Amino acid sequence: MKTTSDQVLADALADHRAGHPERAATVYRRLLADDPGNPDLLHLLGITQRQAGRLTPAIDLFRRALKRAPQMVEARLNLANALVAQGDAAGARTQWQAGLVLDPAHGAVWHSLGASGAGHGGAGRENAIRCLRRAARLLPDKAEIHHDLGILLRQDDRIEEAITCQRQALALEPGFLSAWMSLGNALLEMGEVATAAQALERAASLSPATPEIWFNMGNLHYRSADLAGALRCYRRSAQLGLAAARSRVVATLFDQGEDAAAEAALVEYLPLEGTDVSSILEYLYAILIRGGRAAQARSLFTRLETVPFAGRIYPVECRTALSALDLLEGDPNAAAARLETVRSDNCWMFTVRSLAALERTRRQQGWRWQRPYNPDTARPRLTSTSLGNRGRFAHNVLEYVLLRLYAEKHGCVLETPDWVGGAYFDLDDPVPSGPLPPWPFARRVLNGSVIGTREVEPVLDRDALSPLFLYEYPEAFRDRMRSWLQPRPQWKPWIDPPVDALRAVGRTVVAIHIRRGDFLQYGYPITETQTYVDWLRGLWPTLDKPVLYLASDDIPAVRAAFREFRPVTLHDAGPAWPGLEFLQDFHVLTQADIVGISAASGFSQLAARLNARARLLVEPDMKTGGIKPFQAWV
Amino acid sequence: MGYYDMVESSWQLSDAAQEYAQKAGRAVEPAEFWDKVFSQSPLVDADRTLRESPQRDRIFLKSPYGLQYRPAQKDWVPFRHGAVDLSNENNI
Repeated sequence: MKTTSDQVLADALADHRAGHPERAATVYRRLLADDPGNPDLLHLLGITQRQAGRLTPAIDLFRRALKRAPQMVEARLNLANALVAQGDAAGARTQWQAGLVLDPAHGAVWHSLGASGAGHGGAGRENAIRCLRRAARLLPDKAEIHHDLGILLRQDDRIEEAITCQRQALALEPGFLSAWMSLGNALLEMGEVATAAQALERAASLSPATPEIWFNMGNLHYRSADLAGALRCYRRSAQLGLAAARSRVVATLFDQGEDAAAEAALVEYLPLEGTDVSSILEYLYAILIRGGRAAQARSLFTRLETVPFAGRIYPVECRTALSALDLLEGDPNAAAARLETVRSDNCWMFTVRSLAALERTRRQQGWRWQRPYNPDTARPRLTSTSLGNRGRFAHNVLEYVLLRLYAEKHGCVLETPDWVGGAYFDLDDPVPSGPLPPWPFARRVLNGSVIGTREVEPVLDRDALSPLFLYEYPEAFRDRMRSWLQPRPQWKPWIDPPVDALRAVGRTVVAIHIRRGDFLQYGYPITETQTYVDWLRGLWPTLDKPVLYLASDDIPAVRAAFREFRPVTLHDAGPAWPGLEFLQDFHVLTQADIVGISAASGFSQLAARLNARARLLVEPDMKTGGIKPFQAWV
Repeated sequence: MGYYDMVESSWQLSDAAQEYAQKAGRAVEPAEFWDKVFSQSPLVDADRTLRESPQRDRIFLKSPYGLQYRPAQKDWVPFRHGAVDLSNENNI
């Protein structure tokens, strides 16, 4: 027979489960007055606080419960989830791990650990996928786990597996909105437009006022070059409140040549909270230049550089626009000087600054550089306007490689905007001869075609936007790729001296690249300097008169760790090439005898692939925490 | 080695068993898993497993963890058989 307090607790629990947490909380508090250390009551009261959005008292209550009863897995799970909501990811991770220490087959904990475990840039993604696979084994009927696993697999470019997961989630829960959206997006990436449309239409029919669905529908129409359809969907999404859709509205109007409407839209959107102002200012610049309004652009961006707009200033974007104008009007010195001190990961800024510095060098040297026009207008065309403003050096070079392989395979003329690789390497692609319909999400189709695994009717006469890269680099492409990506001979006075200086002091040049910068901010895998130091200690005595070259976007932060090898940096080895130091580093990496790349860095991966001299290429092994050799070509 | 590392080791052993079954391409009985996978692992407490699990469907590790066979799923998942002290989070 139940005691009175047992009955009171049972009634309170029933109330809690019935959706009355505040009423239940009152009872829990009353019972706690008689039994202040009762861990179950502390835990339950914590849940009511969490449900009411009172995170700090909830966390305090969960911690008190765990102090009394450290084996309470559910309390650890609830504490972890509250810590995540409060922004304490590390604290949450400790609690999930503690939960698994207590119960290693707790599916919900594996699910939470996996769902929160991947950084934006892919750091921890592999481990997160492993956690979610375990969760799916333990709780195979939980649709959300398959959905979350599918999302991570898609981010990891395992699209077919991702599609399987979303289909599993939908088999378990046919009304799972996010799974329909994720399925549609993955199918779109595969180029399965009709099936993707079905999935997204299903999502829209389930929830017609969800702005993300209309955003994805907009992408689908945009992928099919149906700009009117895309605009309709993006507008709907923006109207429903999705800020990301606003810049898509402007972009689509711009693609349609509706510059006045695009300008009106951006004027409407710019002051709104959440608008991607950076992108919109780029479109504003493009609209003004296309309309022959350079003077107005100069006046406007000069003003916006210092005058707050909707409470903020955008100095990087405005200064980039002004620098682009300088360059356009034939003053690369002014263009380069304007951006010399700017520190930003803005891709457009990177392109303008680098092109200005290269153009300044060319003028100092006094040689002409006239980009050709399309020599054969009867042939199909391919372009990628995003080469000039989405991504930086290696990112764009790798995109160029994929596009050129595709263009050559299908007999297209590849037209390119002004971009850094086009100026640095000895390339001679014609300038764009006119706009082409957009082709986003082209990576799978491009790869399938150039590798030969997907022989379908080729997509031609398109602007492949952010096409990304090859999934693998077969030996068969090596010589062609290396022949395209030769630096222009005129740059030798800046890129050869560092290599010569290294050869003068050593017979074995070991070049190591350590990427920092925005890798920290965006959660990319970080290469620990100590890993390379440990590896070098073993290797160094075996080398013939070695000399270490250190390339990094943050030399002051990484140099000291290598001091025992007396590292040489660009500062010690070469003439200053202001604004283009990354190209000098890049060239050394392409010429070294042993190259150590930075984890997940396209920059040093590309250099390693172009290096015809290296006898050893190594990379961090993120699983073991060591260094391992790798093959640049398969 | 912290407790969570021990959990990870137990799951890796579970993965090894799954891989073995996949390579075999047929239904594998617990006894065969014992012979071909678990008995060779330095993680396994062989004496205790032989003593307390005559069907070899519960494998005791030297850590506080073990693996138990799930006949319906025909796979192995970790369980805990020993005490863990979480009073100090550094133990995790």
